[in-house]
Amino acid sequence: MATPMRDYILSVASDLFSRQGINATSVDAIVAKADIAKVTLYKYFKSKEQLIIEYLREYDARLWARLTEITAQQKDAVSRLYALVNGMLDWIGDPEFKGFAFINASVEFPQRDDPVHQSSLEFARTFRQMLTESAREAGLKNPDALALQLALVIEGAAITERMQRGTGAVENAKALAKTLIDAAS
Amino acid sequence: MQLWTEEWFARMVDRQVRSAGDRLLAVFIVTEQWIAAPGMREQIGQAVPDTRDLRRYLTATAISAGAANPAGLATQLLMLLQGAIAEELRNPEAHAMRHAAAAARVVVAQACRSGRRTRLMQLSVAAVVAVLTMVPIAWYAHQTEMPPATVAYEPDSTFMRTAVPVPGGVDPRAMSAAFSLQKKVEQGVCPAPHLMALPPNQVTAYMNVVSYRTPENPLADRSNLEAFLNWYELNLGRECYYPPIPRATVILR
Repeated sequence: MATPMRDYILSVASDLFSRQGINATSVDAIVAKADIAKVTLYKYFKSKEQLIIEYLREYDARLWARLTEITAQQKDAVSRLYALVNGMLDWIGDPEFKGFAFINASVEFPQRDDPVHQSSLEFARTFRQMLTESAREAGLKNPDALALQLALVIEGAAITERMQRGTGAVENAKALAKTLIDAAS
Repeated sequence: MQLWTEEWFARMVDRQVRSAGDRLLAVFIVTEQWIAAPGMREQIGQAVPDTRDLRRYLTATAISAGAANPAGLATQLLMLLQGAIAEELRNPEAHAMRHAAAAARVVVAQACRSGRRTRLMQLSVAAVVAVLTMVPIAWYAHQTEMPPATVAYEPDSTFMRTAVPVPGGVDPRAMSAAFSLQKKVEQGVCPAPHLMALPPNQVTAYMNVVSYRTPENPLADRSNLEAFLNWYELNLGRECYYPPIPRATVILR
């Protein structure tokens, strides 16, 4: 049920969620910013929770689209691994970057059985699997450990970049990832 | 992570090993121990860590280690640490900190290779390799049931919120309590404890902490230090005198 109205509400909500946090954004704030009636919002989204999950899903979809576009051009597994890691790091280096939505959501909703928490884990899990598969295909040593290390580098870079812009976190992270991949081959 | 702003953190790390390259790796070991302490995971929570002190320490140590690009190496190690802490909090089963330490070893070795290369450095790297391989072996030997070498990443089903118990070690909170007490005694704010009148074991536990000595029996020290702090709080704590701060206004309601 993708109508222009639904997309519009989602885009306003996404903007608020990423800028001021999910819990800090009330439905009233979204309604006021979008300049619509509350009933209209509830016509398209059953609850705030559903709105959050849709927001995460859309964010993941955008990131995946970007990553698949980059990785599709690569021929062998090693360059696919580099493309995955560097793609994520470039996303972090974007001046518009406000932290990964799924990481922020998992921090804001720490309960394991919470539906928001569940869907926030999805991206990280799939991404880790892709890293492991690429590493295994490339014949690198300890693909599981390497995938975990690369994921740590990406998350650490995201934290560092968000706290202190301009410390060259992305360049350092790329060099770090290269060292790790070189050491495993 | 208040840990990194505490002055004893750097001393703890310095005491573990001699060479600068090893010290960069010891940061990971000390941080891992700190996180593994009972109740620590819950405490760290969402607090945004102050990394300025640690960055300075890492850069200075990287310079003494002869790294090619000290500031860059410090940033890389800091990233590994922060990523590992986030993962440790979410999913302790994955032993992220240990994997981060392994990654750090590769990076430090690479940075120092392109920098100064001495025979001593090679020896110390070999020592770290030995230590880092001994740690998992000792850990597995300690477990009654052997965990698999690589833990599958399934955060929701295998997640445990309970802290991993460490065999021995003094409670970091008790440790910082002892340090702040010692500071107050030195400043004359609090009366010095009558060490002769105390059970000798408690005196040893306290002195071990304030003089940065490795305890011979960490488990006994843990309970003795707590007993000492409780005794002090009960008997001498009320004698602490806080001199008035100049130009401070006290509002009584």
